[in-house]
Amino acid sequence: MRNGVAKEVIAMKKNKSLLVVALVFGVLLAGLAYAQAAGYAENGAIASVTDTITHDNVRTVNVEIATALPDEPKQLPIYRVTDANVSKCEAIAIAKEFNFGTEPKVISYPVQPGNALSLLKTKYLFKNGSCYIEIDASSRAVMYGNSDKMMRVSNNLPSESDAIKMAQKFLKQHGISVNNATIEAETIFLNKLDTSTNEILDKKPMMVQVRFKRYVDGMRVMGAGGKVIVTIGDDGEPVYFLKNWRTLEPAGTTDVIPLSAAIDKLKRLEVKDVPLTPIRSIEVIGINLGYYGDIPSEEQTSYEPVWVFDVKTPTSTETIQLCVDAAT
Amino acid sequence: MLVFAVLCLAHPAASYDDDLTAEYSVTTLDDYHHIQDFIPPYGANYVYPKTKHWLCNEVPYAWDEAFYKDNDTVLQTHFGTQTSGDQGLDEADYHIHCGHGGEDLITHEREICLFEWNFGAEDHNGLTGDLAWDEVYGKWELDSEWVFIYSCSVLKDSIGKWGAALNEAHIILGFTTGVPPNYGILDTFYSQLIDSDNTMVNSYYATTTSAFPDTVKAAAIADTEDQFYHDHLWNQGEVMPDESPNDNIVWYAEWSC
Repeated sequence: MRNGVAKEVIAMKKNKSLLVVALVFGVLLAGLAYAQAAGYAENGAIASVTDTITHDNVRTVNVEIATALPDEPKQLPIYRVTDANVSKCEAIAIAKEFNFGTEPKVISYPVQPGNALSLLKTKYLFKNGSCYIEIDASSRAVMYGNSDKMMRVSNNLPSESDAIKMAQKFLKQHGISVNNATIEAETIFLNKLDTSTNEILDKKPMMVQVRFKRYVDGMRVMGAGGKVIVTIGDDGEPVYFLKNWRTLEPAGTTDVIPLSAAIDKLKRLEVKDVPLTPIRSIEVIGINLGYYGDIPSEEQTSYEPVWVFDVKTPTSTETIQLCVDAAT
Repeated sequence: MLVFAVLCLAHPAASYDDDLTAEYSVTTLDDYHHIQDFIPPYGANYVYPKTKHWLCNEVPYAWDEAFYKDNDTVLQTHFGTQTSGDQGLDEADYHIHCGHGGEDLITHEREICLFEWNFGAEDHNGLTGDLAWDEVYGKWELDSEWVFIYSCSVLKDSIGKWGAALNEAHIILGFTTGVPPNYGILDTFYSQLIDSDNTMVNSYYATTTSAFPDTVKAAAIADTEDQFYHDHLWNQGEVMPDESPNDNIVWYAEWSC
């Protein structure tokens, strides 16, 4: 190579290097400007992080994180369910606690009728006049009701605070312990509504629903499980009772997936209970860890942690909780 | 059918079936053109077969199936939008619909999403776009007694609007918030109605409180106060008379699950 040519090559290389540096700098500046415009922020204390990714595929959703990011534990405890598969004899013993002495009707039904491979579920039904009690064989869930007294207008309905005391007394009388729970009460009314004016003409109290919501290790149990409901009717009489509260024992720990992986699952709507509403985008306004309790007919063998996203959609006014499996 | 007719007349019920035949109909949407599908198909795999199983196999006298339509075969007219010709769900005593419920971004009304639903961009007058309350206003007056709308939020802020469909029909069951699909809900509901001989509203209360977290709110709307208290499934107890003439009054309760 001649010297002159070599100098030209070196000069071109220098120019190219400068060009590359300038391009990289420009890209960084543009990225920063975009990030600011898109709302990115790096305030660890009160983070308002926006993470908007648009997908063309209708089965993924845009997720905007608008809340502080929680700590990410590497591991959390898991629990074994100890009281699945209730026998008929056990069901009779449970029913006796509620003064049902008759032989139960054993109800078996397929989870998916028409599918020859479908599992069969079983529950035990005891009846005594207008009162009934059902015990789910898969979960030991108990449902008691007095069909003549549920959903009836009450002339002497206790206050919500009195109803809580009555519910607690009812549970104590039947030897039911609901430790680590929050308690809420809600009066249920029968409303008389004029459909032509949308005016409520009358509002009659019927029952007070008292809910005990379960926590495990200070974390909320999500889903339909992990709750006890005592519904108080006229003159303070318990007219409905539901217990879906599985007995747990420690079963070691599990690794917890990183929050970023959970958010990726959220974007693909890989959640425990997909709502029956179309979702294009969601705004996450809270992130927590919890456990998941299943419906009474589900034979759940363990309680494992879930990431719980409190979300709002553009068309929802209420907050929806979407749970993503947190165990690896 | 003759047995059913005799039973209905002999039964100490306060009412009788309009056409002396206990019939059910089902509409489900798992597959949509523009929005998220249900995978696996929840309506086709569970809602329809469970309804058929309980109402045909677990009752003393099997019900007849008026129709089952799914996905792109579900038309507005299946919801009883017409008062002559094909009257859809109004030709059956009980109808259950399962699929997305959404807010139309143009009208801001809650509506049932049909196959072509697209957040308001669908053809409101098309047969497969949406079903809004105004399309069934005062229309259910033939054979319909009970309609279960298993969709998110359809009754939100519009209990009176949907309740107005109850011309001579009895009860609408639905939700005022979001709700997830649940594999156990229909077994509990039908077992409450059939095995426990519980009323329609009591069964729905027991079902929804056992199946969903308390963030879900359910509602039951009855055309008359008596129907709210006393309506059972046919042959499982009392059924109150149809309201006639229509007085534009409905009775409803809403609760957290």
